[in-house]
Amino acid sequence: MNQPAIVRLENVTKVYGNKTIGLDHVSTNIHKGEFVFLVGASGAGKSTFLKLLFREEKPTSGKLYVGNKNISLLKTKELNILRKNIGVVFQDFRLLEDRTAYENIAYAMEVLGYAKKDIMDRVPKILKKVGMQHRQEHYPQQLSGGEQQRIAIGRAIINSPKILLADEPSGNVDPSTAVEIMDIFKEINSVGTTIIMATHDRFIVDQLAKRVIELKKGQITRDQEGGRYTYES
Amino acid sequence: MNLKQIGYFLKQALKNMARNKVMSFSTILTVAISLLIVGSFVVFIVNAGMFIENQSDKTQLSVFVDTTYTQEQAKAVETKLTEIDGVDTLLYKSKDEALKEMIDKQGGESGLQAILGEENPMPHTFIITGTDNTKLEGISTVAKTIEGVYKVDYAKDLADRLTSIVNAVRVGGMVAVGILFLIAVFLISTTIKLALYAKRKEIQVMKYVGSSNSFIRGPFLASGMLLGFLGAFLSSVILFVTYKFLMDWAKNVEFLNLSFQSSQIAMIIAGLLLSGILVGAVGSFISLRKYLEV
Repeated sequence: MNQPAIVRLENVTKVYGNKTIGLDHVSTNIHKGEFVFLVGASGAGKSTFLKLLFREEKPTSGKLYVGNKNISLLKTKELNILRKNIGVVFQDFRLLEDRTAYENIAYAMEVLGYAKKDIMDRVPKILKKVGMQHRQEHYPQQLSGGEQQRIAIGRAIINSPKILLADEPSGNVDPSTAVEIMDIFKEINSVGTTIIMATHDRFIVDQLAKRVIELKKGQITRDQEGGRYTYES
Repeated sequence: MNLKQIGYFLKQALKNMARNKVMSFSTILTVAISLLIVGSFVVFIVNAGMFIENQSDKTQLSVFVDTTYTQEQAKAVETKLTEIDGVDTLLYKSKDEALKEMIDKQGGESGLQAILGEENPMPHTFIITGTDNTKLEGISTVAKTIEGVYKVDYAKDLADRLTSIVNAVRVGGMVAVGILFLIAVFLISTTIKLALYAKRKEIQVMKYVGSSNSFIRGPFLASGMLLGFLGAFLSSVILFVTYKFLMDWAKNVEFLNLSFQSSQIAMIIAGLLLSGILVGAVGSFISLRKYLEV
């Protein structure tokens, strides 16, 4: 890879308050435009990895760079800039139940201070991108898991982030929907967005054959280009 | 921060209030009651102060002679009074004049005359003016020792007694005002805490997409300030109406010498509105500090 590393971990350790180890001296580089799967058992540190990148948690020790900034040292204002440049998608979607699909995406722009005109211009495009323009007036309860996840992805990419983090995005949807959702991620990735995805979905990992980082007890046990989900002995 | 943002915050604040009507209403009411007490207090202190000042300015002293004394006996008292150090002028008011004045004051129709018949309970009175204010106390002390003098009244004495009452009220009032402010702050902070809880999912989304802190906090700060302002507004309206009513009454009571003063009430109301907004800001700030991690 000649691309500069967009994410760089140097000896990053995260120990939670209750002494649980999230990450244990992890070092790795992720380059711009990469599609990386984080795999491993529950509690292996996948979510911690993502939370650190998003600065929902701070590392206990080590250095963590996004772009060329050590994000442990960010001031509040810089933190907001970081988060604008990183989209996040969760297993449980985290949509606002009292707002329609359209409003959920519009809300994210609203709270970033976008002008009404820009919002009206951009939201339909995003809905189209995630294939939800026909369902925009529906509330989350009226949508299937897959549809809700599409909206959540749409919301995550309103800022055209450089990095998109996904924590088990296909965990709550059926296999065929999971494939459709992966197609959206592939498309987002194809325009240069770096994607880091924690998943348990063997089928998807094997099918996409991207870089796989396997974690075990907070440490990287495998880092493989074009890897498969696992090679159980 | 620009005007558009403030407009957005206010809109969100109104939505917060609409979402939690009962809590918002009771908060506004509590703030209103607290500030109304505070405001009444200030009105009382200010007017008592003005009244005292009016009284202190008076250099007059009234000496009442024993009611059984005849006019001749009263004259003897007068001679002794004029000899006191510091007496400038002395005006004699006979029993009859005093009674007539009294009946006139009652409007002449009160039937006082009929009740009294031939009786005249009024004493002979001397109105003494001191050469200056500081002499009054000395004059009063000496006058009281003269035989036949049964009572000496002077305005400054009244003013002094009033001052000590006002001071006591002021100290007690400060404590009460402090407590009331604390209650108002606590209530607003509780309301904002509930609003934060109700909007926790929205707040989460705002954080994920990288909203600035001011954008997240703004609506809640605006909510608190709006609640404080509305409470203050309500108390101001009640205070104004009451003040107007009281002063219309006081204006007809000669000795009070108080009247409606628009600049005075305007200052107090401005103070209340500012306090309301401040209480609201502090209340919401406390909850934001405590419950909103960014």
